[in-house]
Amino acid sequence: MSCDVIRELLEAYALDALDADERAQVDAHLASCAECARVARECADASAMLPQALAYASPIELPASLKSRVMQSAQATSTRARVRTRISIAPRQWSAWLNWRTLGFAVAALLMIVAFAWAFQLNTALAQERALRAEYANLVGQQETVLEVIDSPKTIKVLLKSPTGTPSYGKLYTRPDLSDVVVMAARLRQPADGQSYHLWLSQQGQLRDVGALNVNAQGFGIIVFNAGKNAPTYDAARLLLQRDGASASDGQVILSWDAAK
Amino acid sequence: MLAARVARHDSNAFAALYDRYARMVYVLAAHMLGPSDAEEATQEIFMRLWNKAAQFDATRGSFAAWFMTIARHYVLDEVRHRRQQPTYCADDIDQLIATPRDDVDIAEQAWLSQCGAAAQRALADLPPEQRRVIVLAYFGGMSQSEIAQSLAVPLGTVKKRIRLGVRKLRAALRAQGLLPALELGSSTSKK
Repeated sequence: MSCDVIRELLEAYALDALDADERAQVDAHLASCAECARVARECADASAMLPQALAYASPIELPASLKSRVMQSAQATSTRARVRTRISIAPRQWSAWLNWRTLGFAVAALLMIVAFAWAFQLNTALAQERALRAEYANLVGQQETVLEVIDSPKTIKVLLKSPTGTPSYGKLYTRPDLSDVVVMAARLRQPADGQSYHLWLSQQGQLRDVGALNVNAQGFGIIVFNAGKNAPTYDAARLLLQRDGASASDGQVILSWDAAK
Repeated sequence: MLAARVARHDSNAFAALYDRYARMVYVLAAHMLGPSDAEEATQEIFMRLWNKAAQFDATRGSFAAWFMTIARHYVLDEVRHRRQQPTYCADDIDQLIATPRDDVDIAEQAWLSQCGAAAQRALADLPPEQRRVIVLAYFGGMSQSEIAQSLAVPLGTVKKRIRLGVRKLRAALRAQGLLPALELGSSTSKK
């Protein structure tokens, strides 16, 4: 394509609005045309102003506590990377490297990342790490299952929201090729004495109590269970706050999701 | 370059880039995914910066364009994963950007806020049909063909609106000296 033709496409290229074949043609041209590449960069700079305009126009405020969590996650990643580097010094084949011990460490490290993402309102980094290590020490038998379910391109994730607008939320993870199901919830208040959170899932209109969801000090809880067959599908999910020993789904709805909505 | 320092896992440089871009990323995620997912998305996007900063090539464009492309792709992937309608958020964003804000004293704002104000004014001044296609493309993640189908207008019309709209936007931003000043990833902050 000539420069004149390419120039007509650069605005849409900067907005990522070209169809795949046009984008490929522009990519090929820009690799060998400095002047068109310069114009493309200016268009890209202009499009980068769009989120800035939105940030200016929006009344939404950035939570002040988010920065410390982001910094902690970055530091945790660096620490794990250093450990991985030390491990890699040993002259092992890749297949040997994936022994159970290493895999166990990787599972624990990945779960820490999940925990950092979900554990909000923490007081200090040390307290957080101690709490999370204790929490996940109880989940040793489930670690591999959790990662298999939540950390895959095949994972299907739905969001459970608070019907009353509280900051609590949850996620239900399934996979079409697995029968295991993972449900996580965060920002939950501690239940009062005599009360507990119960997860109810509906299949073809039939609600079933999956079990109690125990909440840690940071308001985070997780349930892992086997649905009995691959590709479990649900049409609704409810996290209820119920009296201990309650058998019917008659508690307060804390989080909900409906496939029909 | 701050990005080069982040590639070496310099926490101070990472914190500086967080201060400059976090609100932009968070607001983008909050409008497109909802407030309950915005924190997780922001954290994930900044972790990508932490882990991939070495891939940034200053000769190919500005840090702002590179990083906001990462943020936009992450958020749009999440939107598509949920099978959420792309126009779901674009409607609100279009309306928000088109509405003038009179309650802010621009003279007292930091440099980034001034840039945002100028960009918002430039967008608000575009003809509504041109702004609409730009918002649908960028925030809705739609191709020109998809926009044409969604708006029930000829593809050629959409192409023309995008071309004219972005050209006007560039001209307005360049007239205010904002395009060359967009190199937010450099260590010479004007903040």
